[in-house]
Amino acid sequence: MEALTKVYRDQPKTVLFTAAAAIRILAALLFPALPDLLTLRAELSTPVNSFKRSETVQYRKVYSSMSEDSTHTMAAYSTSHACQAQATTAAFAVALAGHTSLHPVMLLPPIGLLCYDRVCVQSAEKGQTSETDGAIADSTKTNVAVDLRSQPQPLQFGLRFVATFICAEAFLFGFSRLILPSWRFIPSIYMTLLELPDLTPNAGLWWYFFIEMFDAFRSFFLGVFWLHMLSYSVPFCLRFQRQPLAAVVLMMGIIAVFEPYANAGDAGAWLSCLCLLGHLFELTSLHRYTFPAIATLLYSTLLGPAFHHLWIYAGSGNANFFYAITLVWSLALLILLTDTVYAALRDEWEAERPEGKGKEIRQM
Amino acid sequence: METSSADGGGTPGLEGTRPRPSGNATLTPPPEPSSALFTRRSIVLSFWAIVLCLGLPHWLWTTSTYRATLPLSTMNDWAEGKACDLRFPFPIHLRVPGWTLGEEEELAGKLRVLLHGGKGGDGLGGMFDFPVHVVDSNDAYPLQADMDEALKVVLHVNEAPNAHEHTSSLEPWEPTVHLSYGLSRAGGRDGLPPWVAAQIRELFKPQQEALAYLLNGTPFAATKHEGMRAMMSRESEAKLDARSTRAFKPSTTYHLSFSLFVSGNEPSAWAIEDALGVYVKPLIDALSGIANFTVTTQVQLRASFSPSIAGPTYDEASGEWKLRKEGLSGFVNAAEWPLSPSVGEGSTINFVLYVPAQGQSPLVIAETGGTGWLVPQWGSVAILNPNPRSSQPQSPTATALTTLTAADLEPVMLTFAEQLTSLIGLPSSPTGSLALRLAALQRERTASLLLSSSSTLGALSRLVHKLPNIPIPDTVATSVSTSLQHLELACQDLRTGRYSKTAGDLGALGHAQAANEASEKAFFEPSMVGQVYFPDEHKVAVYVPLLGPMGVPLVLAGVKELLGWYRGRGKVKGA
Repeated sequence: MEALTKVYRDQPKTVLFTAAAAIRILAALLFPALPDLLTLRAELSTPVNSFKRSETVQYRKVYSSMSEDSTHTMAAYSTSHACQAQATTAAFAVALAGHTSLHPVMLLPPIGLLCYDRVCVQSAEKGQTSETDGAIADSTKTNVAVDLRSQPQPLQFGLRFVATFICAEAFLFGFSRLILPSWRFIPSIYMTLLELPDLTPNAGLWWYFFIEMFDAFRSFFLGVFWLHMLSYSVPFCLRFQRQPLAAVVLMMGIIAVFEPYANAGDAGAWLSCLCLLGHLFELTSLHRYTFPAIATLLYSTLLGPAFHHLWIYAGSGNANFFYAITLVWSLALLILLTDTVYAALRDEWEAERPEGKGKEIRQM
Repeated sequence: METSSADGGGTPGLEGTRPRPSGNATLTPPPEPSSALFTRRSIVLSFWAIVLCLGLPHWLWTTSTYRATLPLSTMNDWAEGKACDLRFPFPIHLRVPGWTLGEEEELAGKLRVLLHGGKGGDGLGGMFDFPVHVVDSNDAYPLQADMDEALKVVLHVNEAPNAHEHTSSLEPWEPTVHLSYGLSRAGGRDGLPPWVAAQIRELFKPQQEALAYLLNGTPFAATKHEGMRAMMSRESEAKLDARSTRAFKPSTTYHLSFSLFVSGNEPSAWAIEDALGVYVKPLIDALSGIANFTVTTQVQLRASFSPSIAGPTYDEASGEWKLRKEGLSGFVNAAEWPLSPSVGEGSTINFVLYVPAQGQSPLVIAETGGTGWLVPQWGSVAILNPNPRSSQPQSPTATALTTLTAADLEPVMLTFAEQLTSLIGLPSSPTGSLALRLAALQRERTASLLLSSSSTLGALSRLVHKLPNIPIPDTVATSVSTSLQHLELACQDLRTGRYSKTAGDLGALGHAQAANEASEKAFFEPSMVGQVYFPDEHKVAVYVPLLGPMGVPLVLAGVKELLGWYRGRGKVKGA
């Protein structure tokens, strides 16, 4: 035990990733039936990540194996590199994530902002010779007086970041074309997401809506749903200029709730990412609805599979049962999301006015 | 989404956490720092930018309707009967064995005058033409070779002094009439042309009536209406009414379905192929110029009556089981008997042969004592009572019980064949010649298909005019132009008397069928049908549930910021 703790202290990342990989491989080895079982679950399996259903869409096969895990990994990887002010790798990781499932592209503005923020901090630290080597960014950055002239131009940085992203994306398309026989992978990957051809029930909000939709309005509302998701990207960046990490995490939450083939995996990834905003937990749990939200999540986690079974297999329920529970699920996630928004704003405010800490808000 | 736009102003909201107000003193929030104001406005602006720059073009792009241009005025011309002046020529070929060509020509000239014009004309502005041509004995047609022959008149002039018989006989399989005229009868040679003309008129009268009946009340008959009405006797009109209610609507394909339903389990087989080959096949072959026919057969044992009818009752006096007339409509147990519904291309004509159980036999219709009836536009039902002799224990052989032979089926098959002719609308006269009846059906079909495709095109034109929002795909425009093209050709062929299909041409009937098919395809285009019952009010119901909740905060925030900006500007000016 002693040794284990020591190893963990020395090499925390290695231990963590080794453990995760070991669990993943062990689960597959010990329970060979597990993949089959999981692909049957509506909450987990969607046309975008499922091997079984990808047979119709030829090229998804190649991608689906990597898409689900890699999208999350790449989003996290990109965030982590943005935190280290490595613009190129961050943009490349976003490109990779977006290449496999399109909607991570919406993370580009917040991640760019995060990156820019860290670059500014780094250049500020470099400017302050009194500090030590500045390898590890200090979190009390707000108090540091910054020489504005030494900072990189935001416009210039943004253009460079976007250019990197575009180059990375172009490279990825070229690379994909190299390993695949034709360009047909582009429509088969992106049109699946844009046109939503498969309306198999899942944990998201789209399928029921588009089952009911009149054909003439289908393409319009597909656009509305995508634009709706997209419309949060820039406002989050504007509002959370001073906490870009919050903008990234909140945008991930928006995507997890509103993406076309939503599944429990995406929600889980987002919930894990919430830990990045650990400093806000106190605020949310004090003032907001963390308990109801968690309870609702558990409630829908239990009832969702039950209603799905009742509808699809037992035939004693109908689509509305399951859709209602997916609405509850999304509602719970949205409550968590709004709570986090509140907490982030409050945190910002309290940093400005320490005297207001712990006081109730009141509308005037 | 409300979250972030509202929370753009979230920070000022938190101002309320300042010291609680004492008493009624109202507190005003401290002025907003300009950076917060700028942030909030840029957030609202970014939402509106997405809506206006991406949402609006997307909306215009995805909900705009594509309307291919249709030749509306031509379509209306057809619907109003202006595009085609319907004429039905009946080319008549005359041959008089023993006469010289000159004599024949002279008679033909007289007949032409008698049949066509003058006061004895049809009064329909030459709607029915009777061009008379002379053919020589080799049946070579010197003129109008491309016209279908409506009738060949072979006139035998008997010059023997005691010959005063006038007779007329039709050939059953050829459109030929043999007239024989005894010259010694009163009238002599001068009476010959009027008599021949009267004979020809007599033959074509039912046909003219049927066509007049078809056109009656349609725009094609508008100018000739009075003449038409004069032409119809009430009696023949009733007859034509009955005929048209019985018959299926014109179709290019008919599926004939022969079904044997047995109450018990015997007989379990029938020699249907033999019976069809003998009794029905010749008729189908003869009809093949008018439509395509497919034949299916089936046998169903233990077929029970539908529970909805009372069932037969036993009549002590006659020893028969009686079916009430009102029970006949429910006789066919549509729920349990596997009869194919008439869906898809073509119409299904059902022929049902029912064999009642020994205990319920003989089964007859109470009022008439008959054993068969015709169901209009559906098919025909016949009851075959098992031969009472075969129920005697000593006589039957095993096959007699279990299999119905072709001979057993003969009366039923003859009835079925007869009823098939009325189900597809074959006119019943002139009785002697199937060829003439078929030709008549061909003409009627052509006319009715022309009418129906014209009215379909008219309906489409009105629909397009009435619903300016309905999309018109290119396929509809293509179908319409195909239909118009075929209508034009059909009209031409009709006027020149080419009804049947030839090597180079579909013939009037073929063109009319093609025109009708194309016009129906255009009218029932699935993407249009869906929109017909989708008025503009429904669009509100489509947009509001989602866009309403999204739009309200957007609009409110936008208005508030605009107002704030306007006031702020005013203040700056005032200062």
